[in-house]
Amino acid sequence: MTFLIVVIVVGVATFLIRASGILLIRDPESLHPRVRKGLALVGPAVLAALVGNSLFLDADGWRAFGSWHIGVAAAVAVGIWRRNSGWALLAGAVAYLIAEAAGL
Amino acid sequence: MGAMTSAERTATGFPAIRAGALAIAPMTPGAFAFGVAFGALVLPAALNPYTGVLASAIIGAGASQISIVNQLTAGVPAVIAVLTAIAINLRFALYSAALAPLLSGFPPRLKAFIAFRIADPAVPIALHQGPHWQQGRPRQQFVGAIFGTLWSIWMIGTIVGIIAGPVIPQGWGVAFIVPLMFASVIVPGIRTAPELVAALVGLTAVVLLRGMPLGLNVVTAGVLGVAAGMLIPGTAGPAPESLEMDADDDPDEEAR
Repeated sequence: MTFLIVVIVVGVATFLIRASGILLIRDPESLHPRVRKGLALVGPAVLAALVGNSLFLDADGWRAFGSWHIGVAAAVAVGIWRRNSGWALLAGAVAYLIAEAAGL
Repeated sequence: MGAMTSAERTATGFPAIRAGALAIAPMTPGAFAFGVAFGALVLPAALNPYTGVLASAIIGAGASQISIVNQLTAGVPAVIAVLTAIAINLRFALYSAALAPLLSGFPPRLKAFIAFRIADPAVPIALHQGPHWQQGRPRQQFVGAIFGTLWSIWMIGTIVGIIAGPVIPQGWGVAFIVPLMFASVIVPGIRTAPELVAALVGLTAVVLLRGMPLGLNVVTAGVLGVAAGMLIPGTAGPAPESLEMDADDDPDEEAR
């Protein structure tokens, strides 16, 4: 039930966010530059925090170095190189599987 | 953006819809993979599969959906999971504002549908190629097909992931999807110094703040990341002009 409530609340909030510009702002240039900059920085900051939280930490403290770190490092490298999420995802998955097969 | 172009496309019906679907086609493998990635987490996390499908239908944003599953299974309070997911999705406000001029004149129901389906890969393509289509039905059908196609593939991926999730061996490390997907989403999108600083501070702060209760280290690190990025001179994010420059594929020539 908690999952359902969270999904509905986030779904409604996300729709309002998505509709805000189309229905209310209409002109992105009308946003104050600092507001626009702040909004743009939320994604990188929060997503990076989620990466750090899941990659470096686990229930017992620090996550031991291994295949997770190698996979994410490959995804980051390919993401910088190709500027494409799909390629980054694929590279990270392949690197992870290779590292797992190698016993890391 | 809404200015007429010298070589405007006037097709309607199937050719316009097909052109929209083809325009977004290069992005569909990624959408399918992200859909599978989210779906595969649902049953192993002991969450209701129908709610998982509902999540993709009404939230339609993989990063925030995976964040919700990740946080709820970690015992983080629901309110924190909600706030984190909303924070991740705040970037859609910018996309929405950037799309507003392109969608001017669209019927309200189509505007609402497109607003409902705004996604990272579709916006630059719609902004870049949409103005090449004549105002009215050609543009409405072309742009609607871009967002509708991506959403359809995303939903199929989610359902495949939910079905396949329980049969994926534990040793495959399904939980690894969480950092992998977030890293894959964030890294290609970082193009400016403020964005880089925001990400690096968020990444560092979440680890340094690991002792915070209720999983508050994630939201707090996000706030610190934004604050740090604001201190760095320069712009950030998908300004309308940069969004148009990001999509360098030419429109489908044969649909003219």
